[in-house]
Amino acid sequence: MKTKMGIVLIFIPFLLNGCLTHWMMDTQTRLQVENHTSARIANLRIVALDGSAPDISWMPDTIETNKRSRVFTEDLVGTFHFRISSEDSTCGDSMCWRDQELGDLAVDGGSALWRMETSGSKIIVDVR
Amino acid sequence: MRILLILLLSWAVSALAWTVQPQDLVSQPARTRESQLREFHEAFKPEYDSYLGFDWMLLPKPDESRLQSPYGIHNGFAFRQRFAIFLQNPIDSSVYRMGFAWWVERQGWQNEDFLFIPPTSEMGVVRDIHTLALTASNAKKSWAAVAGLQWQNPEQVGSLYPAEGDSLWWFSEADWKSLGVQAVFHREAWTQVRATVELEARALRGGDSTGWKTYLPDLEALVTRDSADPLRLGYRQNIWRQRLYLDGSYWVMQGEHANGSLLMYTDASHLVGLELGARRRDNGKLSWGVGIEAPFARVSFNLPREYDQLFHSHGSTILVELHMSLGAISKESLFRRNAPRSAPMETDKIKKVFPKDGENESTLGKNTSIGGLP
Repeated sequence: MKTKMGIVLIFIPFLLNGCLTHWMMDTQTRLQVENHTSARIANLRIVALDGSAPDISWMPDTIETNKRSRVFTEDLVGTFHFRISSEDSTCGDSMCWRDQELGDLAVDGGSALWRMETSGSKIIVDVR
Repeated sequence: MRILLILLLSWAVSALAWTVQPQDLVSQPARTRESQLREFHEAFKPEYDSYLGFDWMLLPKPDESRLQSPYGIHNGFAFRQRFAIFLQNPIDSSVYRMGFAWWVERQGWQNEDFLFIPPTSEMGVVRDIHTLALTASNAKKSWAAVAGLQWQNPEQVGSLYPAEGDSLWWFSEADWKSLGVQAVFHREAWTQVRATVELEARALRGGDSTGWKTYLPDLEALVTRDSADPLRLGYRQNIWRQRLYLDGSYWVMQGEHANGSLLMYTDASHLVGLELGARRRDNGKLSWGVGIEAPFARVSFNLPREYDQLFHSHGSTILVELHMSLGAISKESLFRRNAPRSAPMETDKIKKVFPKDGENESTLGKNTSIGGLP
């Protein structure tokens, strides 16, 4: 009897394995961005650096200076290469967008607020 | 001091962590089909009645099997769920027996773990690989003939991987005593041939349980068509009383590619064992691993066969598995797949204490009662 109970007790954590990890782990990330740069930014996306796969668009919206974006949820947790488009005022009257690499950034699941700031000519991310 | 050790260990474990490559997820099914056929060959012998096996893998650390995609590194789980059954019965209580076998493995990678219903994610892949067989055998003359099929069914293939549909392979097998030949066909062409010579004497198959015949080796040659590495040779050798074995595989063309294991078992039924393995990989690098196997659980660290069977896992992969691999002949003997002898059973002891009439020269009179039993 005791052995049977023991076997059942050993099996339970295995059976609930999927449920248990959900207490500790997220598979979705809710992302919000604050634009602290001097230009409008748009189209936050994940890219394959070797161009072997199409971009995954995370935030298609345009975010005005000193404004906060809506919250966008993606089924992604991990470390990915992010890219964003920033408005370029040097183009003159006809406005143009320039791609800015944000580098490899970790999204750990749950909610995250990213502050986009300018550092020289680059945009850097301050993860809140 | 202990905290320092734990910190150091966890750093080492995460620093060497293995990431699953998409191409390994794509190339795995071919290796899985091959190993299912090998397992079937080991579990099915004319003399055996049944086999039941399952393996349910758990990677205790969530960062152990992250996926490396062109976008970056995705947190998630590689998984492998396996089940195997084989049964055969006499036809009209003759010496001829018929049976069936079903091996199934569900494998892939997902961003969350699951029990029965897999989640769907863009980066995930879930595949089912079945091996089904009908068997005919004669235990007295020790021959067997098998016809079967292998079916590969992608439940879900993410955008990251080349599109694939269902595939079907046919296979047949013929065995006579220690010799066996297995051939796999895809459409009209053969894809793989395996030849085995199992010279080691196995008491379960009517051979000796001691003596020099138990020290003969088991040999295997596997030829795979359209492969960069078409010939694999296998060697398995009892070193000490069918409890200590040496097991090796060698890929002839690539040369530097080899597996070797030292297997230690508590008894000749092989139900409880310890494995020390080493693997020489394509780049000539040597890696080692260790595993412990018990009737219902298995723990392994970086074993060579995990490299072959779990999407080329390497580095410091700790794997915990709910595991069973149990063959049976009636109710009298239980043994692990490919073991030479049965586990010592309680029924044997009872038989010794209460021998049936005529089965043994009993020193006790027929009317003498033992332990209160008439």
